[in-house]
Amino acid sequence: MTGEHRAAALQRVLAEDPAIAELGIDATIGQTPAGDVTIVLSGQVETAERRSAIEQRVRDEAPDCHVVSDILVIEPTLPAEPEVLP
Amino acid sequence: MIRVAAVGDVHVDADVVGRYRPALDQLATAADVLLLAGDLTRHGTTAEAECVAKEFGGLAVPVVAVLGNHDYHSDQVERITEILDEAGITVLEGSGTTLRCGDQRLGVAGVKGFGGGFSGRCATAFGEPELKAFVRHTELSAARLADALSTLDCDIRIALTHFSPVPDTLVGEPLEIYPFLGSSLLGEAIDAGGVTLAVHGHAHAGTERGTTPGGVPVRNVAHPVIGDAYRVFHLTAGAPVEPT
Repeated sequence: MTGEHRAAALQRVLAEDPAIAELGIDATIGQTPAGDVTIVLSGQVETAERRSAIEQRVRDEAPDCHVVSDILVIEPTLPAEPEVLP
Repeated sequence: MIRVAAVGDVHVDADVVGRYRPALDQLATAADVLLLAGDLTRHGTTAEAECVAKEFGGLAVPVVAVLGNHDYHSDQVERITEILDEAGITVLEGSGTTLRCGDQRLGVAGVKGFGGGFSGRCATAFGEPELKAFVRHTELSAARLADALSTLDCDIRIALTHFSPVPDTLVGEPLEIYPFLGSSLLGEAIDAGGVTLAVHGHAHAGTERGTTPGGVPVRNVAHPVIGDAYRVFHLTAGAPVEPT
């Protein structure tokens, strides 16, 4: 399977696995200079538990790959200034 | 002036309960109403809806919501709506509600909406039954939004959807998935509806600000886009604008 097909399959898994259900995670497959296959995950989730679950699911799905996670956990902080609309 | 807070795509499950509450507990000092722009749950289960009710119910301001595609996933929409309603959260779907805020009346019309793409690059109801059904779902949703807007008797109208009415607020998303993120049919209904502000979610990698072709401000309040617990908008009624 090519890297592109593999990335597509991973994104389907992350959306359709009931334990994950994340549609906004991007998986990019690359290669280190040493030839190791790397999967870079990016996107945003609500909790650290969800980020860990995604990372573990991808490791289980692709045990031969090095998984790099750039997934951000977003904190529901207080907003700054309101926007005044005309 | 009416102060409107809004957020979407909060994807609440047991692990999220309590995370929004510190900001929500201060909401009444900043806003007169809170709008929820769909994807309130992860999988659309009743257990998750109970978590939404716990997190967003019982606030000091009225809460008005539409559901999103995640909320439909487990085919429990009717029960989810009941659970939210029991928590005091008004769920709109082809309907509207009017709230009194001081001496002004705020009208909110809401639908989930659906995809199909944007002017000049739209899916059309042609060919396979599956594609026709897809497009007709969007057409019906836009028509229901237009109807709901036209029946509101108020000073300021807001259109609340989950899917986007414009491509502007999708910038950052891959172009290839725009047809799954919104439809200009929703934008057309908004432009005809005398709307002051349109609010949506769904596009996690999109952009916060946009405008319909008719000049209505559109805001993508998906939580991953705004980052904060909610955005606040201050709206002032000018001369009443009636739907065309």
